Amino acid sequence: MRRVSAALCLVPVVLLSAAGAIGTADVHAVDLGNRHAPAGGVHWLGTDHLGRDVFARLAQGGWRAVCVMLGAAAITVAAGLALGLAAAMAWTPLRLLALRLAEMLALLPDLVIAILVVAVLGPSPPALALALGLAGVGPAALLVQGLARQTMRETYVAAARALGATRAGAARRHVLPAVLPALLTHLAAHVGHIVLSHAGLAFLGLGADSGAPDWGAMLFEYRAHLFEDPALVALPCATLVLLAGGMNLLIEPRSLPRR
Amino acid sequence: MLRNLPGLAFVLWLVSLVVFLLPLAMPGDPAGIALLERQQAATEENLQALRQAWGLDRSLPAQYGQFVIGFLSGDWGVSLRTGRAVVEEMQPRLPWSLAIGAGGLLIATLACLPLGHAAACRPGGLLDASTRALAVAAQSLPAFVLAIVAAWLLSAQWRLVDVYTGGPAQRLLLPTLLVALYALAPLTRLVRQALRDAADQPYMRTARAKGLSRRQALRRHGLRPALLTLLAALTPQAAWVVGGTAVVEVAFAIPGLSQLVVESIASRDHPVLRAYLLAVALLMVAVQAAAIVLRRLLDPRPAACAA
Repeated sequence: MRRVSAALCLVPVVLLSAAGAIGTADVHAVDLGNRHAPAGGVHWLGTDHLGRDVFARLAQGGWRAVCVMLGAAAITVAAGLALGLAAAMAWTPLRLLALRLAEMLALLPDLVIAILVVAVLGPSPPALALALGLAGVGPAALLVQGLARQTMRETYVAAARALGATRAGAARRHVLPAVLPALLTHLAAHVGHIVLSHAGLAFLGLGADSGAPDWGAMLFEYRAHLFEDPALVALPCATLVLLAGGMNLLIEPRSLPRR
Repeated sequence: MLRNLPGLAFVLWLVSLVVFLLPLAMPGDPAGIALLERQQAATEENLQALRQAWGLDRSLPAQYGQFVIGFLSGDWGVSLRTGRAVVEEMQPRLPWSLAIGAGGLLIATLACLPLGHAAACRPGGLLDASTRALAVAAQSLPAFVLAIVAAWLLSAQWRLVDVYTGGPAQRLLLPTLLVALYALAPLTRLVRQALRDAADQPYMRTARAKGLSRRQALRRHGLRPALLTLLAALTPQAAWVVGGTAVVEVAFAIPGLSQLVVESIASRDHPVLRAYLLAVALLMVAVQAAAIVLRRLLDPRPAACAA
């Protein structure tokens, strides 16, 4: 049942993003003679206050949202695993440094990390993916560290070490399989948060230069037109909820929520 | 999460180092940007004069020392954009942000205990179901969307509050409540879950056998474990509130800190960014330190047994 509703949420968004990846129409083409056009005809979902095609902007925003989401998730898993394993089993000074780094990343709000990254790299989707990925690294690394230390105490790991397995070998053969499922479950619970956080940062103007069709930026731009054209606000909002809600439904976290 | 205070101090030092190094990693020459913002000629003389005034011609460790001492003594530098002291820039904006963020978090923390308790008393009941629905909704619907719609309904459609033009109290009401609602949703579920876990413990059966009602037993003997869970969730929740406050401020056009910070990124105004980032980090460290101390007070078991 939950899988079905997750699919119902995600399939339209995936199709929309695919259309955005191909690129259906020019998202910046302004047509002042055709402002706030109703849905239908050439413009499937109508036009905005500058006569730009809403469907094309929505689709490209979806493509950018999905890319940022996947990029951030990949960074969270890769860096979280590396930092967590280092914090659990590296040479002691290095181990403590890795642990403090993970704790620092877990302590700092997403917004602070995003400001740091965007200030250095400039506002762009890759910078946001890096920022959101880094923001997720802290909790992921701490999770990995705890589980890895627990596994290292198991007798079968001690036996492997006694038989001559190196520390890195034991990590690969025994610790990794014990840690990975938990990390992926954590990630699944975290992905919806990445989507919302990305929208929030784009709403603040950290997503890209103004006018870029991120859903959050669209909501910022269209919020003044809520009276005359409610669809302009409702559409990006709906796609956002579908993506975040769909990801949340896909795999339900066992204990609620660590946003 | 972090359990020891020395480790926390080290983390704070690490953050100060990152924030100190930020302008070096940012593109562009700060002196050049400042001259551009002030519409002065970027001659070599002017550049050198600015660099000397800011101490940028000194060695890195000396600059770091100057930075830390300056931050601690309240001298947070001069904004590149306006040429005014950063403290002066932030002072009128701070109360707005603080009211929304701290107020929202405080309301949420105070309200989640009775709500979680009521939800735990009747699992599957109406209140339990609605707090669950609220938690799910808060995870799928961004705060600023709700902010836009609430501002539209309350101030334009029903004319109940003057969201944009009223006095400070009227303008702060909705944003604070919104942040509180979003922080409340997961905290209530956490308290409820902790109380349900406590309800299965043997000491709870003893309390019931003594003659306490379920409600009373949960309140007397479940509160302490619930508070411990709440403390563990406080820092991540405060971290969310920092971002949530910024977004809500922009949605309601409140002249708080977030507006200043967003503008500062665009104009590479690193003294303002440094001050904001370090102040927020200091705040988070303080929240976490308070959580650690309170945890030790609430949980008399030695740390080794509690883990």
